[in-house]
Amino acid sequence: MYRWVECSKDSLARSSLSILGDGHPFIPLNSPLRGLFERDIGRGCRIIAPQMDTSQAFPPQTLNTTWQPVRSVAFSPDGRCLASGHSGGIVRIWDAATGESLQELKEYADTVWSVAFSPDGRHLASGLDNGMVDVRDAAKGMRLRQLNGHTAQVETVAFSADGSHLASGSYDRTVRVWDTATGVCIEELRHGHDVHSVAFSPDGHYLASASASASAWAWAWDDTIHVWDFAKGSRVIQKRLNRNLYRSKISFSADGSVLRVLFPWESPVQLHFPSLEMIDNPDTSPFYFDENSLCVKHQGLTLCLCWLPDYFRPYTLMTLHGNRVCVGGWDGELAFIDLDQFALPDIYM
Amino acid sequence: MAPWSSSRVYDPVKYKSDSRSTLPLLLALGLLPDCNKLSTMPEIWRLQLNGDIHELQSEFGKRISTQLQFICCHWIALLCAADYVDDEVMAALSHCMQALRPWVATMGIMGKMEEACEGLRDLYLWLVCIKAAMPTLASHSPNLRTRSRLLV
Repeated sequence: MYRWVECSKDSLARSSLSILGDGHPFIPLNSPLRGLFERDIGRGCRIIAPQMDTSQAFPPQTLNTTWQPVRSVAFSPDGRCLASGHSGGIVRIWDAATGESLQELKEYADTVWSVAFSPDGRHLASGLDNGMVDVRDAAKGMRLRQLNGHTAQVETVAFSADGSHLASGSYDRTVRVWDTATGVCIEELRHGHDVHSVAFSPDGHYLASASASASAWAWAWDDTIHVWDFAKGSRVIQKRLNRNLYRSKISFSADGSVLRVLFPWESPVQLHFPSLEMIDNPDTSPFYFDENSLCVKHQGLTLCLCWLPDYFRPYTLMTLHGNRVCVGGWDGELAFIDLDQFALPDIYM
Repeated sequence: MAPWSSSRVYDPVKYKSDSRSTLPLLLALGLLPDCNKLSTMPEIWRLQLNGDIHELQSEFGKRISTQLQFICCHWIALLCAADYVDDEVMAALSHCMQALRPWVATMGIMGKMEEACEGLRDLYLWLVCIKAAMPTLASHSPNLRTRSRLLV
């Protein structure tokens, strides 16, 4: 119990009553505490890292020492696999259920900034720091295409819902849309600033992108959401947000009526689509990470559902599949949180 | 010499001759389970930050008396500094184990998480030493082995 509390003392100082609930599920698998608190703790939550022995009692001592911060994570469409892009030009594919490392792929780049599976799960796209986009066979790891066109790091990649197109956003201030069958760039959409996120609408008619200025000065932020008519290649609307879109992630709701913007360490915002009007005081927000707690906004309250141990430093935006959340860490580890294992208040979905 | 040194041993003779010296410790251990009153606070507060709960300190004060707050801060030091322990102390200590989580929450609300961590470490080391020094006690307290493992 000493080590459990020691690993969470910063969190417990911030949210002391959380220890009475199930908000601290990261107890080592073989700890006797699991027996004592069996009813209270989530059993599906775990932290994994390359070469980590998960049966050992104290995960911080077992983390991989090669220090490859995780830069991006993405679940496969069926949720069985998870891809992680790392510093060092490594892409790893994991069995999302067991945490087993299935593949380790080396890219010809220093950093893999973004990863995305195609809707059928067969292809995996990676955005690299040298401006390339790599498309691989997700099962075999074989490189299928190398898309060349960007002149700076590719911060984001996303497939269209039918898998026929791939969009990539880069620090060269462009979004490129590629035909996945031929590898030809069919569209180049220019932005005023670095592009941090792209997303196709579910019907494939629109492409949304988020650009952020690189300025460190808050007054100089010029962070804008753009919506493009994909068929016409023209900008439909753009809207400045009074938020820093650096390393943000945009996504559409399933029906395409809401555009969600996820920020690192800030609560998300939701916009009506296509008007991009802000949805004020939504009843419930999407999940997000605030430092090392998984949070949700509900009726004006910030609820911290699950706390990662203090040593875990989230370094990617979270990815969600069903009720399973994954976030990558600074030290190369991944945290999986199975929300089904929590006795959550009945406020979700 | 550390307060949990094995020179402080289980001494039934001394216990019989001067049982008053364990009274403050027994009183502290007897009151510690009152930390469980924190579980009557609204469950939604378990999901919130201390700073976001406006009524936290007032409700905390209603449930955790000043006396209990003092005991929370000092019970482990009192235990480790005891000249000897007996079955009664060990039984009371065993009863307190289920209150450890509410005790940690109490310490957190009081802003004393560092002290809570140090206390848990001292308690674990004390249990290990006392177990080694008192083989007979282990037979009287079959849960002792498990309890010390839980404290790791």
